[in-house]
Amino acid sequence: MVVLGVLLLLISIGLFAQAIYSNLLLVYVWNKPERVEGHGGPVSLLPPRLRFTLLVPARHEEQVIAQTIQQVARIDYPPDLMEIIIVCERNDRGTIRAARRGIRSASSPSSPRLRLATFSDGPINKPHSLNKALQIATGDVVGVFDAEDDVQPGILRTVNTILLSEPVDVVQGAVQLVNHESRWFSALNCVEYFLWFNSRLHHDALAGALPLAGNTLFVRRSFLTKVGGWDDRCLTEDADLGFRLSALGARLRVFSSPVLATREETPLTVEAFVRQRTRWHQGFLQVLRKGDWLRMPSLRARLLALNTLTQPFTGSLASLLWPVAAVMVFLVKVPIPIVLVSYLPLYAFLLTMLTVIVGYRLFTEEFGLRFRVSRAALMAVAFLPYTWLLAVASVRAIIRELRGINGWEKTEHVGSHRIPSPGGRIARARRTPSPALSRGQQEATEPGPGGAS
Amino acid sequence: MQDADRGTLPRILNPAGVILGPLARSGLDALALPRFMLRHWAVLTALAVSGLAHAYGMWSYPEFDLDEGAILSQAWAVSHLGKIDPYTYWYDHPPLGWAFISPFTWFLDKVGVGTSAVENGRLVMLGVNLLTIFFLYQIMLRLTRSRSAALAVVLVMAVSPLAIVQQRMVKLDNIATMWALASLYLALGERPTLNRIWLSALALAIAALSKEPLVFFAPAVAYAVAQRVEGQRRLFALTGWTAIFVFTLSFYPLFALLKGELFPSGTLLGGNSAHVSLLGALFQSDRGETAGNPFSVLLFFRTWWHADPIFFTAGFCASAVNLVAAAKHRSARLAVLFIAPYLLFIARGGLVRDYWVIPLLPALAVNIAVAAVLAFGWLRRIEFDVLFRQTPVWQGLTHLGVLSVVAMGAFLGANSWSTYSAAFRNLFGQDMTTAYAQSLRWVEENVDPSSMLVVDATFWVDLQEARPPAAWRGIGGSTRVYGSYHYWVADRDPAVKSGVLEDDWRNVDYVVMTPFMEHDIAAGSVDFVKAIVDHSTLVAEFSSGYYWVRIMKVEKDAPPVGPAG
Repeated sequence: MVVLGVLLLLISIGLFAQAIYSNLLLVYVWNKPERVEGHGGPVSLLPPRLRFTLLVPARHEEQVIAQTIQQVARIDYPPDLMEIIIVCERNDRGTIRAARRGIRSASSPSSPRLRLATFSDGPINKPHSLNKALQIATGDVVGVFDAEDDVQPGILRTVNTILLSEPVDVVQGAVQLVNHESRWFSALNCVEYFLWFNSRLHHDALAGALPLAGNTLFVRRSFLTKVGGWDDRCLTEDADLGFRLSALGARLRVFSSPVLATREETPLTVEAFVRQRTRWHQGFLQVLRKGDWLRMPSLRARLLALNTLTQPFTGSLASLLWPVAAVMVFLVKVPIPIVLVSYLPLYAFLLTMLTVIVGYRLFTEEFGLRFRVSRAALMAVAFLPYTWLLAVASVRAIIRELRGINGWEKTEHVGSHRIPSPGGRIARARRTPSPALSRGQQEATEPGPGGAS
Repeated sequence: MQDADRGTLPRILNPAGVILGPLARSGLDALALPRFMLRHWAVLTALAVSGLAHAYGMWSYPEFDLDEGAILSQAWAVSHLGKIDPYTYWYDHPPLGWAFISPFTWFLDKVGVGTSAVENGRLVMLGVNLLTIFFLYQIMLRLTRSRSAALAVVLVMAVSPLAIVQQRMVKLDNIATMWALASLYLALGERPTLNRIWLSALALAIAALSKEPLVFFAPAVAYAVAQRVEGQRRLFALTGWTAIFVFTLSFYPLFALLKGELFPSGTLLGGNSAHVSLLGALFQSDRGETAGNPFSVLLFFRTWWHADPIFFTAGFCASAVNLVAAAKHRSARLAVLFIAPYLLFIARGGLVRDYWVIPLLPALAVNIAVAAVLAFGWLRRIEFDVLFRQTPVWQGLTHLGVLSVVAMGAFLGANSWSTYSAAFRNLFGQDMTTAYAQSLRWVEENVDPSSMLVVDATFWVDLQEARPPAAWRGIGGSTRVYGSYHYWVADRDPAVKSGVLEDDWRNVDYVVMTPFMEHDIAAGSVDFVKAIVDHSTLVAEFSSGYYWVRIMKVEKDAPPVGPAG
């Protein structure tokens, strides 16, 4: 009984502390007035000078790719300082056809250079396509957009200004889901993005542990080459890239203004949503295991990275545990002070819910959308089920990752006579895709930044 | 701050600045401490004067009050028993007040600074008061932007006899008021961070969990938050502030609920077995001598006004001025919000206690400072030369006005001179506590440790444990531990009255009687204690001022005469 009490006490305090910390990061930008004033990026712009290569990886995107190409080509930036590379796998004929069509209609004497690059080797996923395109990229700065993105025309001038006027190597722009009224979880999903890009990432950039998003990111090409491009074995290659750049000492900057945010849409079904989150959470586990974050220069950055990577799981644990704890205190005789402490995660949970609802109000305000009280009330009701969806995704991620480890060990047994050293074992394991991993990789072209959780 | 200061009061009214200013610019700057003292001379002066007026004579006057003993008993239970009450906690007040002072009193008892628990408790109150003064000064500075006004009003409060008496005593109201002022101070920063806002909510919740009525300061702090945080941040600030305040408060009913003590027994949700309850205590606390008298508060206003007419008159006049100015001035609005809800609460026509004035004092002070600065601004805009040079009628009226203000001031001053001189003689010279120390020593020297004593709460704490001597004052502490009960507990708690004392006065050996106990016996509210006293004889008596202690020995061979015998 004593052990149970102490365990309850420690778990409650731990969950409470991490929830409060994460909550503080969600409102980081609003904490100080000067942060609110500075988070939208520079106010006055410098003349364009840097050369950009924009990568648009596409797979099975014949529906949207042509329009995206036209949008990217219309970005307000001198065409001779801009190069656009659309990357497709050679057998994806539908997308290639649509991309060619898009390039043809977007091409004019005043349009930037548009190229279509194809590749035939595996693995067929987003990081691999990006690495292929990186090989032929020529710009000073490499940027990434997804095939279904709504790209804002002003973005490159802002990034150009930041890179010229500030000591910065990596710039992450905001990504925003905007269809907040499509499904019961859409508004919550939108606010999650809103708080992530408008607040949390600003803190992470300053702290030196920035999980980059899957698009609207801009990296000096020299840095990208130095870090070795994207890891094509990682399910969240974007967050992984961010952490590896952070470990390398790259200087990071985030800006978020509604005018420049890349717009996307939420997953259309609960299943798609859970699949997407499973991939992200599993990706975070892989990043955690790879341990690149341990090489970050400051202790603060390492602790923050640890928090970022584990928070989906502790958050899920909290949302599953506190209802259990709330009931258990009536069934099990535990001393009153411990019971009171065990209620702390519930309070933290309610605080997060309020933060999200206030965030919804600001989100609709900034993006010129309609704020409806009934929608906010629905969010309050839907918040707990929503966290349960995330919990389901966490559990699936852990199971899949564990199955992956099993497969890896099997491979190990087979290959152990060839690779004797422990370091080699890990290196080989990464190069051998497990069945679980390749299933995950097929989802890698889903919308959304890998960094958000 | 200095610029704002100069803008409000002429430089000549700020002599320290005139003298110390050039000094500060001279070579002395190299020294860190003097520089620090020069820069913060105003707040340091306020703290020094207030601290001196508080500390000088605080162990002699006023007498050791029953409430002080009760709170210190509970603090003792926290630090020694790990419980929030030595006996049954009956939700008299939320526990954070005594839980907060318990580590400090525990430490002072261990070191042996004072010879009795109340002396150590009052030492803690000195610290609480200094923090209160600090927060109050900062609040007034931020509301008025005038260092002179803030300093002047703090000094007036520092020497207010009413304030000194109440603030010296170990009262939950003192602790709670400090937290409430800390909360307002945090919310009033220039463009405060959200972190400060969260802490402000937490501090106010701690205030209300130290003493319930402090919850009535919530409108003022919430208004300060809304006023100081702008744009996108305001919604976050107000939502977070409210949530943290309410969530923290909710731990108190949650605690009662988990113990099955939220609802009174005999109600639908409370069950039928006898038990204490939070809601029961909350409604019961509205009974008492003055309950039912809708104008009870007026009696207390008279008492308070008699104790310090100048401060009280000025405070209420200032509040009236602020009420008028509230439509136009934010500071005045905040000042009114600071005082009005609490004032309405104590004027609701129910139970009032004299120490309920404690939270009112800083509220009055804030009102005085804000109104004074507003009035000074208005006065500066009047062209006095023009008034004096106008028609004879105007001239006459102006002279009359000035004369009547001077006359009123003189009248008030002359009338209250005797009040103040008597009060100060008491505060700084009257000894009301030597009898306590003497009787404690008498018990020590003459009573066998195996005896059972019925005492009041102040003695109870001192008889609970051996105390080291207060070496630096050359006074011996007690070395023995006695079995003793607070007379209310002996009379009311069934576990003690029937369980330990077996409802028999013969099981008690001594009664240490004080004016409080005598009052309750005379009122007929503690019959078992009366029976014990009826069977005992006086063996020693000590007195200082109108406080006295009578030690009564129970005569076990005497024939039974009392009803409980």
